[in-house]
Amino acid sequence: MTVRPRWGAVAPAALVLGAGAAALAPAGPEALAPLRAVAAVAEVSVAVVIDFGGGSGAPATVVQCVQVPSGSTDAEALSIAATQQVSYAQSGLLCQIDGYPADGVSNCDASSGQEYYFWSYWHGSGGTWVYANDGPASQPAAPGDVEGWRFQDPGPANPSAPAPGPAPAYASICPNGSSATTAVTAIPPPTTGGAPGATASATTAPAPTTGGAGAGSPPPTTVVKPTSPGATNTSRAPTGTVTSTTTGAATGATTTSVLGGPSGRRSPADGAKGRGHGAVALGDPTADRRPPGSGSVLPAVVVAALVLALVLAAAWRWKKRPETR
Amino acid sequence: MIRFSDVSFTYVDAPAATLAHVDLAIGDGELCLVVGPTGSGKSTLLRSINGLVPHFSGGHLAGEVAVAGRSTRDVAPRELADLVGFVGQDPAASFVTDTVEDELAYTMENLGVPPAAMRRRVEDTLDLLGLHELRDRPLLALSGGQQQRVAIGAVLTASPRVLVLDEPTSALDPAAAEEVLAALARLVHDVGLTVVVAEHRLERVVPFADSVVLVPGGGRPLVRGDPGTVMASSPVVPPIVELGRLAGWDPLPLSVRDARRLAEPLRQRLAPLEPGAPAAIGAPGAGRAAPVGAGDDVLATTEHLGVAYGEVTALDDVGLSVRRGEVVALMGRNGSGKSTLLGQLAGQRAPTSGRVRVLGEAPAALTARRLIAKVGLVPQDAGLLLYGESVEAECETADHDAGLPPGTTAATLQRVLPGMPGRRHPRDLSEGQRLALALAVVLAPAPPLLLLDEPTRGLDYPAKERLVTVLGELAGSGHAVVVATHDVELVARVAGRAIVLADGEVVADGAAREVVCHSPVFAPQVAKVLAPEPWLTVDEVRRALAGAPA
Amino acid sequence: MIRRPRPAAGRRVLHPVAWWLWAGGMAVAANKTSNPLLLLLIGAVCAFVVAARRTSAPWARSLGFFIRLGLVVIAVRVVIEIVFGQRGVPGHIVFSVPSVTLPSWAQGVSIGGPVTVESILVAATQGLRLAAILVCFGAANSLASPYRLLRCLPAILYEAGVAVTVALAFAPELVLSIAGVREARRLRGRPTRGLRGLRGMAVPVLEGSLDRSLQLAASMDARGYGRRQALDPGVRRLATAGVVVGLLLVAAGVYGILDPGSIFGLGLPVFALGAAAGALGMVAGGRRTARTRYRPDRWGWREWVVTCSGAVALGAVAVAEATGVRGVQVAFTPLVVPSLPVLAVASILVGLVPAVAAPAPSRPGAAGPCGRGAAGGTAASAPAGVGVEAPVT
Repeated sequence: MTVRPRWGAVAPAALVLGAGAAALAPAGPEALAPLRAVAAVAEVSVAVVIDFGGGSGAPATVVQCVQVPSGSTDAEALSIAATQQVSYAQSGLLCQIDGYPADGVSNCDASSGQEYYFWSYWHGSGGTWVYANDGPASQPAAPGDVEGWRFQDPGPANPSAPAPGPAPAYASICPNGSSATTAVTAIPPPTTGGAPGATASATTAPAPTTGGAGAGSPPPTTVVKPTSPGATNTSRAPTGTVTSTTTGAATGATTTSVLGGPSGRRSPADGAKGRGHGAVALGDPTADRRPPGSGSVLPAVVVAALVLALVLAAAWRWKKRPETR
Repeated sequence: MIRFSDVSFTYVDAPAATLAHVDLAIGDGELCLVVGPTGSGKSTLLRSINGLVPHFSGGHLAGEVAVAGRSTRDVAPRELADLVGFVGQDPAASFVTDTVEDELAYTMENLGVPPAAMRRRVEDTLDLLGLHELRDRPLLALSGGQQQRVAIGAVLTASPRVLVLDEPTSALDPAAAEEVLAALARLVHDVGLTVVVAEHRLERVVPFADSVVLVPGGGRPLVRGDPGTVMASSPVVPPIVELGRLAGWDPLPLSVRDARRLAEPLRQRLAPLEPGAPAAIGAPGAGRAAPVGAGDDVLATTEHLGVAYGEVTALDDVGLSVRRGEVVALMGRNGSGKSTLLGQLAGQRAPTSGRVRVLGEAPAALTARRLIAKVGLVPQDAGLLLYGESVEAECETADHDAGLPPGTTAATLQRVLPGMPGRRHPRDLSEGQRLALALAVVLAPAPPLLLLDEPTRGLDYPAKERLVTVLGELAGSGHAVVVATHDVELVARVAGRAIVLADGEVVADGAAREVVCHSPVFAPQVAKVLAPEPWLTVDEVRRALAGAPA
Repeated sequence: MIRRPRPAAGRRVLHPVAWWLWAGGMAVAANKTSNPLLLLLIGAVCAFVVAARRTSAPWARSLGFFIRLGLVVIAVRVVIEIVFGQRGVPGHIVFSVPSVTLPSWAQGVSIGGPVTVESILVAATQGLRLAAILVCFGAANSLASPYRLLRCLPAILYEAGVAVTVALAFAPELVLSIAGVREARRLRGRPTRGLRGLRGMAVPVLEGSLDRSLQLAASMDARGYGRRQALDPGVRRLATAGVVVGLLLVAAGVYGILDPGSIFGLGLPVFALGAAAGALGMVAGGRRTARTRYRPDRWGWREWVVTCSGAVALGAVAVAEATGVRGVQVAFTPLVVPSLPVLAVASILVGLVPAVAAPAPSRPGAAGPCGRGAAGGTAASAPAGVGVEAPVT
């Protein structure tokens, strides 16, 4: 008796939800961005230096200033700084930054003789690098932090565990060091089919990465992640913000937000622009970036189907046999 | 073959000697039956042949026991394993491996017999005992008779010259007991083994025995002789012998066949008489007198009762009813569902299909306290009910559990079995005493319905007599009693109604006399001797003869 | 006496050690991978082989227990991760557990905090690895008769083997007797649960077990168990010394193998030497018991096939892991569908070979002497009404 009215109430709600989902689907998660009006959030600037160790095939060193919401940890600063993603092993050991080394995930504790390959973690303190005693996740991001990462490549030419190359100078890496509070208004969704640079160019038309500081200091390099329109790059680690130290606030920056994770912002890539000293673009920035290791879903589906078939066959065979307990 | 020379044995901490100055000689190829009341020392006598007494049990042995010239004094039982084979009451408790063939080979492995000889002997033993279809079966899946035969085979493969069996058929239904005894007889006649058997249910073994040893207990001397002589004066006798004494037959017949030849005059005398004349309330047989449908309460009913454990059906469409004042016997071979039916009446689990009602309620749904006020079940292993430190403690706990005034259980116990030592640990009691204690505990809250599962296993004749009396009194005072038993003699003495189960179904349900008399498996000895006249017990015959005009 | 014609032997059971080697290979392969799909595949393969080749013996149903145990392990691992898990790896947060800050000396431990999908997946996969090993162990348990396995022990361990065999036989009886005692307690109107119930149940069960064990001991003694041959005292001392020294050397060798920085030569050579010394001591000491073996299990081509299938699975996965093939060790940060190495999948599927190579279990007799049902029908299967009914209901 009471079922009918309840079903009657549910049906229109379901229709609305379904229609909403259908409308949003083509746009991808970026479409949810306008629904998230981010209030003013205090942000902290952290300097991150990633030294790939200089082995064969190693990318060039990355030196960046990233801004993370206060309260997040240095691990998130790293994931913002990395252009692709950071892979951790199941044990929590960091295996791969930006896809280097290529076999990092499958061989996370690789060794050569008595020495091991590993990513080392350093803190900058008073102008020198100090080996960190704890993991980045246990360190809250504080203004003035300089985080260093170096990939240790054991070999006869390397002394054991050297520090990252660039000096830990916070002032030069993050000249605008104090926390810059930036209000973010509702962001228009990226237009499909538009060139990634369409909305981007508005922000970075001026000299993007040269800081307002003196030219003597090596300008921070900005290597940013492009947003391909409609690409649901949901596998990325949460993004943060990289602000070029422009005087004006970045306007119209597109936000690619991913569910959960601290929200940060990153200004979109700008093809040939934004090259600073010592920066090397990692391949074609407009190319569709796939995180390493995510092949097609087909083998996994096949194996899952195989597992299911075996289990069902086993259950059927089990039942066939008469029991004598 | 076996010689006891002035053997005396005392257990550690025992007040008196169990065996005193025993002189005995058992010849080669004899089947010797050892009889005597419980606790008289039969088991001790048997185990001393093997060396288990004193090497395994402890105690002080004086004198010498020699088997085929080898003395058991200095040699452990394991050294005699190739000479003497010992089979106990519970075959399942002596199995070491998991299949029949491995069990048969186990003794030979211990003795270091070469593999080729082992193979040959296993095949021979399988043939001898009729086990060759069972050779790969797991031991737990065999029936009781098969297990007992496997246990016999397991000691037989060592080619011993003497076989000692301590109550081999007490756990078996009549058909299985016949199998085992036939196998024993074949061993004696074909293979020439010397077999020494102790049994309570003499009627099964006496026909096969070459000699009988009576152990009277209490330190009195043994009596040995051929069966006829010993049975003539023994206090424990099977019904045939009792009948023969009553009718004055000479020589005393020991088997049904012999008795039938002598029974013709008695049959003619009994032809005009009616068995089962109503007896006084409280006397044995009172239960039988209660006519069916006398308008008394129906205490328990089952309708279309079905019980299944997984894929195995234990009970199938069983319908019966039990009235006040009835003593109902549940019979059937092992595995036919007797215990399951009693468990259903006692509310141990809910039925898979159908209904059970005891005094109008489903017993499985009752709380324990309300249950024991309605129905009492004495399980097969009465010791499971007992966990007190002493008999007195047990009675007190029973009073407390049932919410009875203190002393009730002790009074019941006194009625059931007077003279029970109060301080003794229940595990140290004899079988009959333990059954009496369990019965008292269950009877204390006076449940109208009483269930007993195989109560006579291990009971000697005097204890059985007491049980029969108690059951008769209970029936007379308005209880209903359901007894699941193999013991046809008990059924003949006490049951008014008999239900036969086979494969979980009711095969026969009616007055005990009709069900039991003409069945080749379940007929008591008196019925077999006096067939076609429907007489069940010697008491009936005695009463009829006494009441008839001379 | 008429001899009946004997049927063909028809008893061909796979050697239990072959089953254990196969299961061991699958278990070590499971240990080497952290890919949840590969682990599930290993578990499914083991379950299928058990379903195809198990007998109707009582231990053949133990796989269900191990599967349930594995699920419990996974659940416990996930709960531990939610409460205590490391929070160092960024990911997609699902919910947050209220966190407790610990003093700095307990810095390595974290309680509470945000729980991410990745960390739950990692915990579940680690639990799944343990569950897969348990399933392999359960498969070996179900397929290989423990009695026959114990018969394969060397002679010097014979008595320990008998103790284990008897314990194996007693365990189901103990369960039955506990059930019987519980039912009996209901007949006395007593509680069957809780601490009050425990004492009342423990005493009869223990007393019954003691009685049964004494009976068993008497019958074993009467059947010749424990016959000894006198050994030369010198040989006896040599045997004992050999076993002890061998074990010490094996321990040192294992340490040497595991620690790459140890003295040269402490690894494999010392291990091999210790194993040889121990084996020699066992053989020498085994001559003390003059036992023969009745129809020992043969090791034929089937045993080789089964063992090799386990070895192939293990070898391929081990090689894939050592050479760093993608998909054997997977990371869940970033959250991607793990790739699957074809060779590893194929080699795990080779583990299905025993389902056809092992001899099919003999079909139980149609209607045993107890009538209805399979061999033994109602025998011993239905829990006895009250008490342990010897031997059938």
